[in-house]
Amino acid sequence: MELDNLKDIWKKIEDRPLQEVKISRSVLHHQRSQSVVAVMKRNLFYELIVVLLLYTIGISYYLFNQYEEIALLLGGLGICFLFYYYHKNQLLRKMLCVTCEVKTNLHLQLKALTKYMRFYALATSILIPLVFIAAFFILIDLQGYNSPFKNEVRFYLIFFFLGVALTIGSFFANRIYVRRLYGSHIAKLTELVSEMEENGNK
Amino acid sequence: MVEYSERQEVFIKLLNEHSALLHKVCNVYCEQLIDRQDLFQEIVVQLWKSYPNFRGDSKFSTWLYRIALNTAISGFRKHRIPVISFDPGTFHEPVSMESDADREEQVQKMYSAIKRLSDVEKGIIMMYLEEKSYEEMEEVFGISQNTLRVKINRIKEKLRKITIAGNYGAG
Repeated sequence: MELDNLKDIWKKIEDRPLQEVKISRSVLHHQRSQSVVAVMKRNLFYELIVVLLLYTIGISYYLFNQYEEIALLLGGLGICFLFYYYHKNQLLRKMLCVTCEVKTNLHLQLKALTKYMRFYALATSILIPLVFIAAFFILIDLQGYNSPFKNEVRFYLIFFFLGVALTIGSFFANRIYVRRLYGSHIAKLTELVSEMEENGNK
Repeated sequence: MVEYSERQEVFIKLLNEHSALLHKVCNVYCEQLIDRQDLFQEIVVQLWKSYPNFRGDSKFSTWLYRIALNTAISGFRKHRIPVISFDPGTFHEPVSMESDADREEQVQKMYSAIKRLSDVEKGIIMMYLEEKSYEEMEEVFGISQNTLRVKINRIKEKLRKITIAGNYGAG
């Protein structure tokens, strides 16, 4: 099969009767993109809604019960989470440019996805200990001045070591999780980019 | 509202004029019918989303190629499990006709051979077979014309080997 033969066959495809069936407006009614990036954006949005809902309920509950300092603490954490979602969304927006040249689009996607993975691993490694520390303060605060733990050094030490273990554990667990999620896509993109960058002398 | 409806009408007309090209992209990049249907739908979604920004600086077909190939190469997730389904309203599976059996076989052989190329090579050979100029290919891929020439020669050689080996059906 020489390429000239291929060209003939290729042209003949257009003459086939089934290709003549018209595309109707109905195709525009299913406008929900199923691209990798669109699905990631939707998942991020759903996650944000859940976090917002939980934090709003939590803050309202503590405010109502006159634990303003706990409400403030949760508010601070909530702001950290908002920044986290905002930054992830910004990276996702940069991830797909279908109107760009194929090479540029692949570069953008690889760069943005690599940043996204790094940010995901780093942010969750910071946020998880922060949530843990917040939980510690909430526990102390709820116990009040009569807390049996207040003057127990052992209690603080256990909490400290648990926090350190959780931070280290979550860092490595997140790295593994993120690689499982996006590792194969990154590998495919890297391969495509290096193929695009071959200058033809190879 | 009228303007939106008019825009839709023009867009659908343009899509119909280039529908063969869209079907070819889907056939080249996807093995399963359900993937072809989904890719077709995804390309249409991306085209429609980008259409308001189409200023006509390049040919419509060049613009369409960019979006279709970007979607097929990097923006689309295929199904892992083969599913057999058919929706005549959105996608039309090439069906062999008795009077045209030889031609159909040739087409299937050609697709099988092309499917064994890499995703980037598939796009390049498609544009070559469509007899697009190197300038247009450069506009779509962002690769210099000299590099494209070398790549096409390499793809030709690869296709020749695939054909000689006679195992392009395994694709």
